[in-house]
Amino acid sequence: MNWLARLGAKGRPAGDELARCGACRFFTNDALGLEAAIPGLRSLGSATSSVRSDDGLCALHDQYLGARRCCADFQEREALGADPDRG
Amino acid sequence: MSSTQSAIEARRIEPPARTAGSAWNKDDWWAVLLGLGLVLAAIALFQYDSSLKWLAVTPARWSTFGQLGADLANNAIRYLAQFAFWAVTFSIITAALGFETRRFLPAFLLLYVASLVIFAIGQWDQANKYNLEPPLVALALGLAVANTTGLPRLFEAGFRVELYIKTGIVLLGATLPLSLMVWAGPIAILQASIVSLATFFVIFYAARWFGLDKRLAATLGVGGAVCGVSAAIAISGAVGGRKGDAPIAITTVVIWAIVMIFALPLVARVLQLPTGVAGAWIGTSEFADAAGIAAAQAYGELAGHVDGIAGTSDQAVWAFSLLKIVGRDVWIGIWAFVLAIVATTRWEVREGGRGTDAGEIWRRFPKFIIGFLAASVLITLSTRGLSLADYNKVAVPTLVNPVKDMRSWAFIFCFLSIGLTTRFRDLAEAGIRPFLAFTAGVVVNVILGFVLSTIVFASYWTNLVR
Repeated sequence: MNWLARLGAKGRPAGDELARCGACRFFTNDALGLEAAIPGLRSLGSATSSVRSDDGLCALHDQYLGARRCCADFQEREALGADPDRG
Repeated sequence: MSSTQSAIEARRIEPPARTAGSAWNKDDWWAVLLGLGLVLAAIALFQYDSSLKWLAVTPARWSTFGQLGADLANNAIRYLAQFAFWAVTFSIITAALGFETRRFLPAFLLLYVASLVIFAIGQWDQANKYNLEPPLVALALGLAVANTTGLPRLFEAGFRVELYIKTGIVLLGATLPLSLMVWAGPIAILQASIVSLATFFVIFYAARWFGLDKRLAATLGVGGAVCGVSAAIAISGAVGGRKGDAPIAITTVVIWAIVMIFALPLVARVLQLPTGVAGAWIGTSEFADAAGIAAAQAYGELAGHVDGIAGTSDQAVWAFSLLKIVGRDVWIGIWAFVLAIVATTRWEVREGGRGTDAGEIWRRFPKFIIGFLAASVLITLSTRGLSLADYNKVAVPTLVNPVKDMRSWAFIFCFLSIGLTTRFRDLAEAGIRPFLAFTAGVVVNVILGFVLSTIVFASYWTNLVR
């Protein structure tokens, strides 16, 4: 691991397998939806740009943040509407 | 272990099946593909003593409507072929980005026809006398339509500012000599870095002085220092800004960027700055790539038409590209990475953790810059055996100019799209404090950029030649 990677890894809470905002039911990062939700974004920019990476909106915390973040309020998106009898 | 950590650790799942991070969901890589595809096609045709210029048709200079009409009629089939080319390629790309082709095509037809009209206006032999430079006409027309009658929302699928500007920038790389990039690139990086850092810290501390949140202050700061709207959206996400932060920063950036499109060329014209110097100033002090290209191209087109303005149109665009793309844009990933670390370890220490790593630099890297550099390398390699005389006599008209003409089309699509998508009444309420903080940065940025471009490094920007 080079110095840059070490710097980035320092202080991370855990590995990549953690539940991330990108999979949370409160998180949306659909590009066209973001362009509709953020006024002016498509005027001199776009939500389909590399610089946006995979950021999106968290409806629970009213934040705009990266899909790789995580928090204690995580709720898996796929769990929504799942058959409760399936366990 | 805290309950919070336990809660996080307990939820180990696979990453989402579909994320917005896929390369095919990004306009950057599509612009690289399209731009380099055109450059490679131009090179291949050039190698076989042919040229892309049949497809790269543009209106000829004219002084009467009769001349214009005859030129358009004579080249009607070429315009149809060119429209078909753009329509097919952009339809495929926008479909991959998630737009419906049935919505894109009518909008693009409108955009193409309007662009042809604007292009033709720019070719009128009296156009410069009345300040009818195509970039400014496209912007003004688009802004007028969007902020008066407006167009139906369904047309918005065709007005993809970023896709058109990135395609144009990749094609721009083909006309920027690699040797020039090597010679002036380090100076561009130095000048841009000085101004970027000064602008960021002025905006950041002014925003803090006005009592704004650190994350909003950082979003505003990098928006002013690096690449406008793109930087605002990147940094807001990196620092985990509040939902309203990005729209506030974007509103402020858009207003100032639109003002600067008209103001910087106007002041440069009054001061009769050489085109290379003006391009460097615009590259240092404009806030968005699309806005800056519009300003630089508009000013460059005055060369040779307005007394007292020395240089060539190429020099304005070259200097702009070196300052803005090479000097500022390439660093956005590093800004995002550093600020993400600062935000999540010092400003907002909570259970969410950092959620970033060094890969952030690459994920946010504006990939179209790779296409821009690759296009320059490809053209340089394909013409390396030619003397300067042969290059000017053979390669310029049959290889370089057709690529340049296709670039001009992409830029006009972009400039018109900026106008048509900028509805001032739809912009978020920015508030006076963010606006004032950003304006403090604008003042520093414009003055510092002017001094560095016209005095400190003026010899570089005046002497940008192949």
